[in-house]
Formats: sequence, structure tokens, C-alpha cells
Amino acid sequence: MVKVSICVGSACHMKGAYATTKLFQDEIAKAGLQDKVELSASFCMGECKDGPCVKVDGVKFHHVDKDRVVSLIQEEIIPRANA
Amino acid sequence: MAKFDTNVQELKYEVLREVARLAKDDRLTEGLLTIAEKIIPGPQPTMRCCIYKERAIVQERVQMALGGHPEHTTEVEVLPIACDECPVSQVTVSDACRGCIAHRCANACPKGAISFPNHHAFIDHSKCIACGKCVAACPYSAITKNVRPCERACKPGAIKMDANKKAHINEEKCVSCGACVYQCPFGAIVDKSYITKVIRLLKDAKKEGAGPLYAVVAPSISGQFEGVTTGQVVSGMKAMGFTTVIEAALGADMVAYMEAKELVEKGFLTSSCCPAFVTYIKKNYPTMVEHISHNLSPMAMIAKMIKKAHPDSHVVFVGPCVAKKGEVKQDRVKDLVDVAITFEELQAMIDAYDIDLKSMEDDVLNNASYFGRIFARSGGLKDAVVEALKEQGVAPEDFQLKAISCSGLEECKLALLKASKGLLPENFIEGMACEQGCIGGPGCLTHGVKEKAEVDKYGRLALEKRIDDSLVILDVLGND
Repeated sequence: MVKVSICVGSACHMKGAYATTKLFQDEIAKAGLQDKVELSASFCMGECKDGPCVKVDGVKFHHVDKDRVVSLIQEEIIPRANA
Repeated sequence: MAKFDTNVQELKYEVLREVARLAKDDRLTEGLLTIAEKIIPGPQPTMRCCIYKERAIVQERVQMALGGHPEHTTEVEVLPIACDECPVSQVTVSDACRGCIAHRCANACPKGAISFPNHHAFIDHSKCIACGKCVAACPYSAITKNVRPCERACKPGAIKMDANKKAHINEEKCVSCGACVYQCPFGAIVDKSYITKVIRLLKDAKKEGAGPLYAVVAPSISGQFEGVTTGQVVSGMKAMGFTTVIEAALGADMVAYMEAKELVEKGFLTSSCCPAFVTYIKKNYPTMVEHISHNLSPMAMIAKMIKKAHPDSHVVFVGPCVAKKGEVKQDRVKDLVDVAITFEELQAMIDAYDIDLKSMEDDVLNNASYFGRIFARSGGLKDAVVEALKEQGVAPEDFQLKAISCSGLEECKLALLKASKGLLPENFIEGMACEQGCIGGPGCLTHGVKEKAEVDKYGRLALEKRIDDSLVILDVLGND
């Protein structure tokens, strides 16, 4: 199971974390990975200036706005899910 | 220096600030007995007969700042030494009595308590039942009814004088709304404070490997801290040691969404956001208890989400509310929220930590929708439920909302009385124990006429204009 945690605290929210969340849900469903990816939320990852922040299996990624979601899924999540 | 409505609030603030300062510096034990002299330096008294009485009162207040007396089950306590024993003969005739010949007052009196020695109305207090009929009858407004401010403020009727003419709280009736605390002109009733618990949590959060410490802030914060932005208050709180600050209004979004669903299902409901209102129902209208919404309050709801995302976290609620201090002790809530404090107490802590809010960076506080934020004022919850029903696509032919917004316990009482007899035309009671809703809360620093406008303005600043927009994260948080 790939653990993906999205920060939805104020600073990340202002930079589009809710849109990121929505897109993650849609894209993961589209890729048929619902059973392999566990989405969760965080209220702060301590890096408010570089939001939205996302953690994939404990590894932190910054500036994950909605343009970055698809590539992150391709590059980080799918390989992990299939590993 | 913070701005308060009254000198009583300022005295409370000074005591809280000194206690917080000592607790922060780990000097509470040795410093406890120095606070009274520091706040009342003398030699001239400024409030009471002598500085020794003033200091004794401060000492009692210190006790309240440390959590009060656990043997009292309510969140408010009378400080007997501070109670000025306001006059008890409630109905009195003033010099404005003209000694007229119509004697409407005497005619109106059901007890024959009024006579006219020397052509001047005289009330026999052994007969008077303080019904007030003579007050209404006198064309010169010469008769006045004096009710102790604490008794008048106490809508559940929990405050009466004791044998020594001191105010006494009947704990069976008290709902800990805190109205008496704000209304007593002598500051003789005080809410218990748990700031030292918060200071302990702030210290623990700094330790290696400690979990995060979240502050959940009520939407009525808008307009509370004069001269600074809410963002600067957020920065100040982070500087004190909170990991971050989260809006309780996001919990309110969730409550609105779920309350709408529950309402359609059950057909009749009262809100459950206001802990004093819920307690009032339980103590006075037991048959109505089954109609109370099963939702957690917005505070508890968001705290539940936080604990789910961060099981090792601690949560402190900051709001205008005294009753919340009791709510966090309830079985359903005690594992979600560690402590509840008021805006007054937050101000005292900010100053104890020597944080100059004006020099703070303007941080952001933005988690909720417009509708979650307007919960802070009377009518806001109703508006949010209207919106949630619309968003959920509930057709008017399936369910027609008829809501009544009760601002203050007196209005709540009226609606509950009617509902308990099946005479209430509405099918949803929004109950707020404080007049105007939370913005009228006793723990607010100020209670201005513009607070409602401030809340609406703050609401409009929300990124999300719809409730379901801000509930996107509910799916990932996993609600049950």
C-alpha cells in the first residue's frame, strides 16, 4: 500500500491543496489504484512556504499544485504501487 | 495593551497574564503569593474599601486562573468576598413619585403592598412579590424594579442570594453559559481557567519526539484583536509554540452538511453546536433530548479529524465560550480536545509570552467555507443548513425547512417550551445560549455592534463559497 498524505492546512490550502486533493482522488481512480493507494490528510507538514506539500511513503514533495499531481502519480506513485 | 469592554475584564486579564508568566517560567510555586501585591501595589485602594480586600479578591482570582475548585461542577464560580451584596428589596419608589391621586400603582398591586403615608407611595416589602405591575402602571416611571445583574443575566434561573446576601449558583440549574461572569459589575463571578494546562502542552510540544500541538480557533475571532490581523494572531500563536492554527469553522462546514442530512431523515431537530444550549435542554426539557442533533460540535468535529490525521497530536480550542470548558470534559469529547480557553485568556497568554502581535508576520488562517465561518453569529447555522440542503439537492417537495434562530437562552426557552408541547410551527431550532450567537460570548475581549458585520466580512474572505467545496478533504480524512 502506497501511503499518500496531503497537507490541507491553511497555507497549503491557499495554494490549492483542496484542488490537489480532488485531482489525486480522480486520477487515482482513473488509474485504478484505489486498492493500492491510501490517501490521507495532514493539517501541517511544517513547510508552509513551499506548499502544497504531499508525502508519499514518508518522502516529502513540495509545490504539488494540480499541474504537478499527474506527473507525481506517474513518477512516484505508480512505480511504488507496482513494486 | 489589549482593549476590553470593562475594568473587570482587565483585572481578570492581569491575573491570568501573571499566572501565565509564572507558569511559563516554571516559577508558579514560589511566585503564586506575589501576584496580589504586584497587581494591587497600593497604598491607595482603587476599587474596594482597602487594598487588603482588593488583594484577597485577586488571590481568589488566582485560584480561578488555576482551574478553580473541582468540587464545583460548573465552569463558573462565585467569589463570595467579591460579591457586593447588591440591594435585595427589588421594587422601590423613587423621588419621582408625585403622590398623585389616581394611585394606579396601588390598584395594580395584587398583594395590597402599596400604601400612601405622607401622600407618597410606600411599598411593604413583606408583602411585595416583585411582580412589577406597579412599575408598569406608574405614569411618572417613579417605581423601579432592581434585579441583581447576575440574576438578570442568568436565564436558567440558577443564581439566587444566599443567607448572607451573597450570590449563590445552583449547580443543578447552571448551564455554564458564563453570562453572569460578563454581567456582574463587581466581577464577583468568574470562569475557571485552564491556561496552565495549555502552557504545559506548549512546553511538552517542544520536547524531542513530541506530537504536534494544534490550536482550533472559533470564527468569532474576527474583530477580536484590535489593530492586528487574524493572520498576525496566528503568527503569534505559532511563536508561542503551537504547530499550527486551524479554523473550527471547517468543523462547522461538516456539521452543516451532516445536520442537513439528519434533519431530512428525522423531520425535526435542534442544533447541538452550543454546549450551554444542549445542557439547558438536558436540565429543563428532558423530553426534547431525543431531538438534539447527534452531531458533535464544530470544535469536536474538527478535533476528531485532526486526531485521525495525527493520532499523537494535542488540541487546544480557543473561542468566546465558557461552556466549551465543560464540553471538553464530556466523555464524547475528552479524547478529542485537551483544553478549551477563551479569547481573553489567549490575550493574557500572548502578553505573558511577550509576543508583540503588531510586529508579527501576517500568516494565513483559511480552512473553511463562508458558511462554516458565519456559524459565529445568530442565524449563521440556519443559513448553512439552508445551503447544505440546496447542495445536497433536497427538493422542497421532499423536505421544506422551517428554521427558527434563537439568539440567547430566553428565545431558546420559548422555542423549546412550544416544541415540547407540539406547538412550534418550525422544524429546526438553532439554539445559541448567548445573545447574537458566539460573537456575544462571555470570553470575547470586546462585544461591539459591528461584530456581526465583521463575521460576515470574514466569511466572505473564505476561499470556498460552498460547503461541499471545503468538504473535499472529508473524503480523504475518512468520516464516519
